[in-house]
Amino acid sequence: MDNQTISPRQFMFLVIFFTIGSSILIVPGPVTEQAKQDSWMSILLSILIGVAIIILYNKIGELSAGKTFIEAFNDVFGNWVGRLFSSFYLVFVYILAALVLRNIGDFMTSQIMPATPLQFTHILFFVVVLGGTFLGIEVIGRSSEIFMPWMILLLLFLFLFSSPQISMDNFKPILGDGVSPMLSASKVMISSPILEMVALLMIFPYVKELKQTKKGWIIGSVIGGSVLLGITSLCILVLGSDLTIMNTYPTYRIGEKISVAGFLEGLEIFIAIIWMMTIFFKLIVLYYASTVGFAQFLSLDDYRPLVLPLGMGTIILSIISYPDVAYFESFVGEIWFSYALSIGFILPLILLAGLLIKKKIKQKGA
Amino acid sequence: MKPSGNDSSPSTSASRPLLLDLNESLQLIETTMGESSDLVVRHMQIGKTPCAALYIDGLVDKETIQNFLLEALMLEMPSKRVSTKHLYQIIKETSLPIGELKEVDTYEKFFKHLLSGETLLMLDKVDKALAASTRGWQDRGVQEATSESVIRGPKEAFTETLRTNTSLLRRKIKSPELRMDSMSIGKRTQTDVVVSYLDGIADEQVVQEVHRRLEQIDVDSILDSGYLEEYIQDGQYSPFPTIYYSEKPDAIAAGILEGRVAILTDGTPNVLLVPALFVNFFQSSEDYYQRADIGTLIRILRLACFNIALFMPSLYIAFTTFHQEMIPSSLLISLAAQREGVPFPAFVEAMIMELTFEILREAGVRLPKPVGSAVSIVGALVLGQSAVQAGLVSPAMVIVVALTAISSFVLPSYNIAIPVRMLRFTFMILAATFGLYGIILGLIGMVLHLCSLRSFGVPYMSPLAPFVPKDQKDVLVRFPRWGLFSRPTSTSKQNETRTNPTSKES
Repeated sequence: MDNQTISPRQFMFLVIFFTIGSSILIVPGPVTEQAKQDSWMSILLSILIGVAIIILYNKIGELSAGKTFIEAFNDVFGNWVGRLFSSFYLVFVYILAALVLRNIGDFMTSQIMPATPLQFTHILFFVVVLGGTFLGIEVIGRSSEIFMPWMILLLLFLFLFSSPQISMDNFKPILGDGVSPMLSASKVMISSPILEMVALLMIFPYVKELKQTKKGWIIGSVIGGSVLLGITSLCILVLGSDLTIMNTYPTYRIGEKISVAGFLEGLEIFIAIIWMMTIFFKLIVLYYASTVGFAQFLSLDDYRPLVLPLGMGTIILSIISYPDVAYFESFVGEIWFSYALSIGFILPLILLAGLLIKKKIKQKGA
Repeated sequence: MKPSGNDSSPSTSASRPLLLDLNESLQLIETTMGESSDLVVRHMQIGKTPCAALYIDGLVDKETIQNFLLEALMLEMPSKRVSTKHLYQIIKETSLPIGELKEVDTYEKFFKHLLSGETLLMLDKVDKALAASTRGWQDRGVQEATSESVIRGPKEAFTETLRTNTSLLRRKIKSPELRMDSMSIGKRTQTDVVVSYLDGIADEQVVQEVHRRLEQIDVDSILDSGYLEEYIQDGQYSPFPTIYYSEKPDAIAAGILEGRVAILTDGTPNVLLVPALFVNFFQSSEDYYQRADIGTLIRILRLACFNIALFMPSLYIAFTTFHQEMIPSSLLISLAAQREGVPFPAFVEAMIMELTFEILREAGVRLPKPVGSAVSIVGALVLGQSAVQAGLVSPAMVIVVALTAISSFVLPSYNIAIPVRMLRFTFMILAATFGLYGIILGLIGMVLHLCSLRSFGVPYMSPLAPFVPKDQKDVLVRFPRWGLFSRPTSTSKQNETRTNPTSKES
């Protein structure tokens, strides 16, 4: 497809952005709703399970030897059956891209710019995404390196300046409702972003140095998961579990609570910037994955002609996909996990089985 | 001269070999030159052979012609009594006490040498001519740099004469590996261009790429290195410069020592340096002459100023228009009080002031010095103070514009201030329509664009993206001299060692 490659470090940064992006908006609320003050434990648990899932993805990436997820399916199961499976995958990635776009649009129109129509918010954001997708994975990887230091600074800023508001009592009682709500709450983060990372298998072949890449994926998701852990803990510690559940965007409320020396106030904009940066990278990775995927699905030489038409579709899909935030929250809580599990876990398992069998056959033949 | 449709083809008689007969030859030359008044033809006779010396008045050093050419030929030659047959050979080998002597056999070469200030000697019945280097013309000499002033460090600047410029570089780098590949570009102007680099340090591929791009230029004239820049730059439609230029020999020499390639053009003091990375435009040669700590702090200050110059007006617009709740309340009250009587929205107010400033700046550059001070008085007092008093703009807006303007002058390279000036307006429009959301998306778009650029094959944002840990010693932070142990990997892949760490006093 493209001769462009990215370095393992860039891939790791993309994984970090992917993990944080949009989950930082949707994870703290629903997790806390189920696990209350123990939500940090659920997230810790999800990170551990996530590492296991990523080891599975790494195995697939290694076995498919320089092929993307879609190419590997066609390779293992042949043109027709392979395309049947990969069409499920493509639809998943494409819908996910639209949902992520809607996440940022919902947030912007409800919290920051209430007077701006949703459509224009989406179009402006997506124009930049389209431009980045057009420029290719190399440019995406490089810009992740430019933005990473800024994101670290902003996060440090957030943690440092909200620390005076922390009250450790908010963590108590630990496991007051028993273990089971904590366990079931971990589903939220496993479905988003851990299982969504199956989309990264589309860019996995473009990364140089396999061993470093595999390591980078695991480290990146642990770092990203830790940021989510830190943010969720911060929400509970500063706001308490009740306020965290009540707010649609609890992290944003933390920013409003920051007050340094009576002058540095209203720093919620820093949080908005973190969100925009991370969501941008998540969205561009997803969109790149879906355009490249569609191009490979249709056996095209270049994905670029698809960038604009598919993008128009994404914008429309993002607006018609759900009516309001409340609908979306129940969708994420009830349906998304099983959908993500079927595409992000069962489908890769099928591919892994196919790859292993093919490898066995090859070894016997040789 | 006949008018020709295709301007790139030189006059047709030029590529012919020289004629045997002197008179015919001279006639041809005079017709080609159109009997120009500055062409001097000195007829003379050596023994029995008629000959002629030709030069262009004003391009030659008349004393050299007098002392070493005419005297040798007219006073000393007759006493040697050489035969007519070997006259040409004898003159060429023994009689001309001039350093640089070349033989030409076509009119094309003949005119090239003649018009670059050499004296051409022609003999009857010989189809060759001798070109003696007698160049000497008025130039302004090596003076202090006008557009890049420094407090500490060499103050000399390049001049308009190519030879002076190459000598300035040679004087700094006394290495036999310093290469000066020369070529001439421009069908009409025949401008001399020299590509200079250190063999064994500069990246071979970059050197070849520079040669390739220069050789494919087909144009009638090159009057400044800016002409070349537009032909050979990457990212033709990008506002960001991908070629660095400087008029300071020390800055160019430092670039060459880092493995970069300099392009010197005759007739201009601005020397190009490639590959140029984004970070290079934030580095001044003075960073290396001052001590390392202040060098580092000043670089960080420059980065901050770059951001202020680019984002300050748009942030002001975004905050006052869309995000008032994010301004601390006491500041918000004072801002609101100032804006009370202002009839325009913040965007229009900012646009007016920014445009006014751009007009003032442009006027200040063009006007002669005595009038320049009048403009600054009008700008500062009339526009600044009176506009506020008249209630047209708020005082805060004047502060924002002034800070923006001063910040853009902090950038050491004029080149990088230009995209800042242009993109500032784009960001203002984005801020006026989408607030901070627009600014951040614009920023992301700008970074994506910057990351897609390359300068002669080197990624423009390196060593930041792709991140090269080893090269961070000279990007935002400037390590002490002994810590700059290797050349930047982005420009020099071979011969990296620069200094031995033991050479520092412990």
